[in-house]
Amino acid sequence: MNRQDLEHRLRADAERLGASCPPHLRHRVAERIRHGEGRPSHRRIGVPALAGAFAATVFAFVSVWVLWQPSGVERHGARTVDLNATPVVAKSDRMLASREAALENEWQLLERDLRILRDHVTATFDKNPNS
Amino acid sequence: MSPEVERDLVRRARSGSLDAFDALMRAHQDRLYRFLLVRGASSADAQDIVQETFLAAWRYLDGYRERWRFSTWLYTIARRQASGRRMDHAELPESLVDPGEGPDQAASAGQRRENIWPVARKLLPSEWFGVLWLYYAEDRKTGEIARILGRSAAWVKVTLHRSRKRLAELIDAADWLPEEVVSK
Repeated sequence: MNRQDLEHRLRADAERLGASCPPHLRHRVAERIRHGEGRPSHRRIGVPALAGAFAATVFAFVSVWVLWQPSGVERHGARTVDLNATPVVAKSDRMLASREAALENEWQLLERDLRILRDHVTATFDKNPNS
Repeated sequence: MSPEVERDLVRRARSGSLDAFDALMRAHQDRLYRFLLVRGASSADAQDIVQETFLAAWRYLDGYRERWRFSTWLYTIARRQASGRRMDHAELPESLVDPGEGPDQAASAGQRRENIWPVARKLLPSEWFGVLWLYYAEDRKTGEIARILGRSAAWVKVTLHRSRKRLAELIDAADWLPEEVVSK
């Protein structure tokens, strides 16, 4: 069977196939609509728009949250209190404790320096210039 | 129904006119019902799907874009509504084939040939048959068929070609139709 014959038959035979939908079905649909089951949707904002808005909100929230955080690693050396001291790294929840430790350390070093200075001054002025 | 009349009915239905929507249902229900029956739905399932399709159409009428024919939109909804149901009737329902042709007429009409669609239903995979049906029986363009079936236009074209080829080959090979009937 060539293509032309086949196409002709497919079209012609389709016309010979008929089905009538029961009329009560249409009435039932109308009835259900009247009872508010299929209320027309007047939603102007589609699902993609809602998803986009949600994603934008989440992105904005995360951005603000990230920017609000103090920097994870501070300037190298800013918190070093001695040559071999480990840099104090302020990281999130450990930040406060680290800063307190650093201040304590600096205070001790300052005290040590003052003691050395005092000893030095004392030693200088205690010397008898005539001896 | 002309496209202008249909457009007007859709516009009125959108503004809440149930009469306009009823006219749309009346215009499309038989073909939609037939489409579901030939796709393999039982009569009860087909009626359910038609009903749910019209309800969904009413509910989402605002989402209909006039780029497609209204019936194409309905078929797309119907296909989605049918996706969760069994559509495995391999044979077309008796009531569908040649309505009005009683046994007497059939017997007396030696020249009456066998309808090709039940044969196609038996020979082709369900999806191929669907493409063939939409193209020849429903007079849809390949783009519309792609839309209805959720496939690409290229897939529809290839499937259409393969369906025609296989159907012609199988009919010839199996001699489904007597030669004198074919020539008629």
